[in-house]
Amino acid sequence: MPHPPAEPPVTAAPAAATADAVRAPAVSLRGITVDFGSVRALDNVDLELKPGSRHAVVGENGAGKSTLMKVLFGLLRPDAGAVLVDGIEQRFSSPQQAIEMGIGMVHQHFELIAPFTVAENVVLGAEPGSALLLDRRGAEAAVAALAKESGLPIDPAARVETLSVAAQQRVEILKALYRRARVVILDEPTAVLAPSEARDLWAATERMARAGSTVVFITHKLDEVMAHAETVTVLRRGKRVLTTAVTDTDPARLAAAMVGGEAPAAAAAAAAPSPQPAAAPAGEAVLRVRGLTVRGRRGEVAVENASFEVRAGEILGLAGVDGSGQVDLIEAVVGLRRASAEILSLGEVDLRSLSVAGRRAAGIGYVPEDRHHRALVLPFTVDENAVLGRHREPEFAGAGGWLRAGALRGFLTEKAQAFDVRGAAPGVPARALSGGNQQKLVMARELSRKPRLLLASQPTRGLDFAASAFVHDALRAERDRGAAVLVQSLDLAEVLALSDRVAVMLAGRLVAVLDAAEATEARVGALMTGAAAA
Amino acid sequence: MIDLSDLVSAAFRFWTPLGFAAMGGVVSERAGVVNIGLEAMMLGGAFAGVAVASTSGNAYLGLAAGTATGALIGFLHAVLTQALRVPHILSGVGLNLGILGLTTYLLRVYFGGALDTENKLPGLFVTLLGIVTVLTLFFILARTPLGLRLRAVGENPAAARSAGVNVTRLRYSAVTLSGALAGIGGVALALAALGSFRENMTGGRGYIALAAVIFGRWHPLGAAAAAFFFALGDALQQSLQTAGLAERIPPDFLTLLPYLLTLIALAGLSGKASAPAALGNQEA
Repeated sequence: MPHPPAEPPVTAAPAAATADAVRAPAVSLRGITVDFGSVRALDNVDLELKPGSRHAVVGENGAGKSTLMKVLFGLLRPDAGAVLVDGIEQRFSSPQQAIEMGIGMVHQHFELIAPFTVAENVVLGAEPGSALLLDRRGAEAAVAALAKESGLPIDPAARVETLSVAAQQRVEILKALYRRARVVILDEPTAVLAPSEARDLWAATERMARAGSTVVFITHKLDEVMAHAETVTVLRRGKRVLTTAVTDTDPARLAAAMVGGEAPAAAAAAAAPSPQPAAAPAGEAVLRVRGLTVRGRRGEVAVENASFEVRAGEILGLAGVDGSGQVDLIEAVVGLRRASAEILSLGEVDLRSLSVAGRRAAGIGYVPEDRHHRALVLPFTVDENAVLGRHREPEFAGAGGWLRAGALRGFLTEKAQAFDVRGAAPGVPARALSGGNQQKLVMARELSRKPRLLLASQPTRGLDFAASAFVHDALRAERDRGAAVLVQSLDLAEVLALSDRVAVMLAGRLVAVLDAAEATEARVGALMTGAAAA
Repeated sequence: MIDLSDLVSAAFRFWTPLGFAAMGGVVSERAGVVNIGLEAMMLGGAFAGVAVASTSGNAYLGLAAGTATGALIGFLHAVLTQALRVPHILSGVGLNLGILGLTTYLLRVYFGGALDTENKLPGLFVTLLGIVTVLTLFFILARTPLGLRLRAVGENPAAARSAGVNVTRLRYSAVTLSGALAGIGGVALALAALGSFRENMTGGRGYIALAAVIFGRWHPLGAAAAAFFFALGDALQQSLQTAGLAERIPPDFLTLLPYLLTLIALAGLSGKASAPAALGNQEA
């Protein structure tokens, strides 16, 4: 495996930075060490950020990428090490100080105030005008000018809650630029974007780099690193294992550096996801939906008149930009949302009048998007979580409704072994497991009933690629067993890699259902954003 | 029968205490802090107002004392909810019970169970002060950087903090100001028309003010209008009683009228869509 290149201890960075006044400060992190209790999250990590370039930070979950960025943005104080801006050591005790030094961060979960306008969000805390009167027009004009200059188109007077996710992300970047950030940190910026939106974002980052700023981004997608970064740093278990120019590396080597040792098959597969079609042709329709309409929380139409079916032995992937109605559709099928439909049936069973429990009993397995709120009860033990929803069955509940602790333990032990759920010893609270192991526990539970229909919403969200590959294999195994599988993901590459057919949603409508062969990234991407008609 | 001008002037008289307390509620809740302790802040303000006015002989000193007492109770609510992380409702209810006990004790031990004074505040003055307060608060929330930050803190404190807003300081200020306003409301109740303080004399008006905040959708003008609606109900029941209806309708039922109106108004309110998104959140 590649060795970390030996970096000169103290480079001539300050001299380089002073050459150009508008340039971003040269920022370096030296020997950063962070301990969370007894766990060493970062161990002596160095990071050099050069003005006018884009720097990718990659690594598996728990490798310390986010922790390192938090140190850089002043959200976390390192236990050892220093942050140097233009060669001068800084001790950030709050993001405010990092902002003053020209460092900005766009979090994965946006920090925006939904009912405020774009301009209000951007200027908040640094408002133009006097203290007695808010200069709204001035704020909107300033934001409009900034948007134009930076190539991030936005309507400054629009309310943030009415904007698409991509537009909200632009607001976040504008917030940083308005505060004169010259180093902009982006945390998994394309995780929720459609391909065309991602292209626009990368174009904007390129413009920022050309103007002398530094863009640092965290990602799981190695093709993004190769295409949009000049330098890449790989972290593994809190240590920096590699920093190199992207021209000197390739995805396979990066993947190998991330997991350590030789690149296992899982890493290679994640680096270049490829479709693995069903071995046998799909059978008869298991889930049949016609004329499904779901209303959102404010009474707006979230899913409009959707009709489709999922057949036995196939994976139907649901693609769409965030908020196109995918989640609403799946929740309506599970029974979590009120919906109207001409037909909503599982085999011969009409689901419409059934409760959630009734639908699950009829043969639906469900892996929800938000595992912390919908899939697991975090303070409960893993034994209890493993049978959640099945806890009334005679296997687990004895006479008088007592839970049979022994049966729970036995069931957990068996499933934890079969699904490789690490750390799931009986009695351990679910919150103690890592995200990947929590998801494996959920999968183990949902598959244990051998569902006729499996619904999975963003099944690999936040998982590293070993865990993702495990989940993908489990979904494919369900299909090969003959189950009908419906998978929703915001990651188009994931949808394309898993699906035998791809359904595309746009603004609450099912605009197309394509066979895997016709579902190219370009075609689906165009359908998702409305750039092409079905 | 009922004289309309009497009814309206009575409604304004009833509105003034409610309106002040409701403005206090708006300030606190827009900053994200639930303030069911308005009742305590009103009651404390009313007691201190009358006590100081009667001992000093100056009604305006009473007003100042009532305001300061309300602010102090508000500050206490801020410390409990922000520094000690007590759930907002629990802190508010605790203050309500504590201040009720304290004022009752002081009243019985030091004032023989009743406090009266000749030094009253002119009712018109207090009502005008109330109207000015509503308009000022409306302007501050809608048009000033301070208002923008206050609303930001109530909607998304994490976002406000990362934008450089001092969330903690703003919340302490807002809740303390909230107490001061509710304290003035208490003074308006005790020192404007009556010139007296009795055990538990607010009788739930703090809760009604909070209901007005919700019914008015956390907007100063909305809350003021809602408070007026409740005050009108109060005035109406009193007119009906004096108009002799009491012989046909049980007076207890008439007394129930404003509370019934509150209940109906709140029940008719759909959803919580307009509440500040971070209202009552323990994490900040």
